[in-house]
Formats: sequence, structure tokens, C-alpha cells
Amino acid sequence: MTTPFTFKLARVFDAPLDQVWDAWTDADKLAQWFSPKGVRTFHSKLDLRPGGSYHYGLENPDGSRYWGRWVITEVNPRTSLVFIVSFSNEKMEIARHPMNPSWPREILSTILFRDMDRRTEVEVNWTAHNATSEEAQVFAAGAEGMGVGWGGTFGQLAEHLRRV
Amino acid sequence: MQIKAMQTFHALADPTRARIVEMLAASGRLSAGEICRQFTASPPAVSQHLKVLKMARLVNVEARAQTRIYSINRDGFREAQDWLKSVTELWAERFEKLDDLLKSQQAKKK
Repeated sequence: MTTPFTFKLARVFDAPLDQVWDAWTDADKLAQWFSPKGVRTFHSKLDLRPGGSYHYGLENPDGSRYWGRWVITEVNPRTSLVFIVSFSNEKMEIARHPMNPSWPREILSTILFRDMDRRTEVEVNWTAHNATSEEAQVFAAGAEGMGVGWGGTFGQLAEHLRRV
Repeated sequence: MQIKAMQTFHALADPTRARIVEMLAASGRLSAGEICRQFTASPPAVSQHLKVLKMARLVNVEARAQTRIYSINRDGFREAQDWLKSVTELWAERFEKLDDLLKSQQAKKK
């Protein structure tokens, strides 16, 4: 198994670290921002500890509902939060993305928090988790030299990342 | 074959495979032999890279007599791009809302 592709993006928030950490680790606050735009959070339950979970229910503007969950693996207060995110159902069982079946079933999310003197940088890292054997084959082949060579044809793909 | 976008990017994150994709983007179509000649790596090693690119839906291959002809798989690229765009938009929306929440908390304190 080689190092898989990681989707990474960072943003600096104009708020102190304690407040940003709190926004990520308080169920009521998560409910206020973690859903996509226009999507209402009608259920938000967090058990913040390694082995714990976050279970959330979302409602689209058309009234359709779906669920998501985090399985929390690491909690390092004010430093990092690691969890496996997936779509779910109301019983917190794993499910496929309701609109896009090609979305990875489980994504390992590593969130890093950095104190920047009254401001806080948040870095999100997303890596596919638990690939199927077919996917694992793609991963396993050509193990040498990962992570470089963004240019030419896929420079424009990297461009999307810079725009955030 | 259902290969996910993250695996597509993973396939691209290798310098040899990235170079192959660039060559195909520039030339349109190349035979396996033409691709192999560009690399010091052994033909089986290059062939393995081509297999990964094909599985990741980044290249198409057609067999002509004894030759395999490779070209860019535009659908695969488009899917990967669409996925990246949707993920980027999702986080932009979330972070916008997080920013709003943090600002409203700051305002209350003042």
C-alpha cells in the first residue's frame, strides 16, 4: 500500500483557537455550519472521544433527508481531530452518497488546528479509506515516487484547490 | 468499472504516470512502444503504469493488430474534475458558514 492521494485545503479564520476548536467539537455549533449551503441540520449528536462518533441528519430545501456520520479515531484538543466520515442512515449504519455513487464510501478526515495569534488556521486532509480490492489494486500498482508531478494537464485540477 | 475520483488523483500522483498523461495530452494518440521509448524504465514497468492509468479511467486503449494505442480518457478526467469541484465547493460553503458563526460569536462578545 502506497501513500494515497490526499485532498488538502486550509483556511485562516479570524477567531482564536479555543473558539474554532469549540465550533468543531460542540454538536449545536456543528449543526450551524457543517452542512452544505441551504441544507438544514435536524439532528446533531456528538460523542467526542476516540471510538466515539458524530451522527447528523440533514434536510435539503426540497424536504428530502439524509444522514452522515463520523467515526472518531483521535481527539487532540486544540491540535487535531481525526475521524472517518461517511454517509449514513438514521441507525448510524454506513450508506452510499445519495446523489453520487462514485463518492468514496469512507473518507479519512484529519483536521489540523494552528494557533496564529488570535487567528486560527484550519487544515482539512481527506484520504480515501477502506478501498475495495479493485481500488486497492490501483493503489498497490506502481508504488514508487508518490506525491509530485502536478503540472501540465492536471495543473488546472490543482487550480481548483487554490481557489478556496 | 467504478473507480473513484480519489483513486484517479492517486494514479496521477506518480511522476511517470503524470508524464505519460502529459505526452498523450500533447500527442493525442501513442502506441505502447512509443510511450516506452520515452522512459529508461523497463517496458514491463511502463506497461504496469499504463495499466494503472487505464484502471483509473485516465487513458483509453485500443488494440490494433499487435499494437496497443493509448489516448486520454476525457470522461474519466471530467469525472475527476467534477468530483474535485464538488468537494472544493462543499468545503467553501462550510467554511463560509463557520466564518459567519465565528464572526457572530465575536460580535456578541464586543
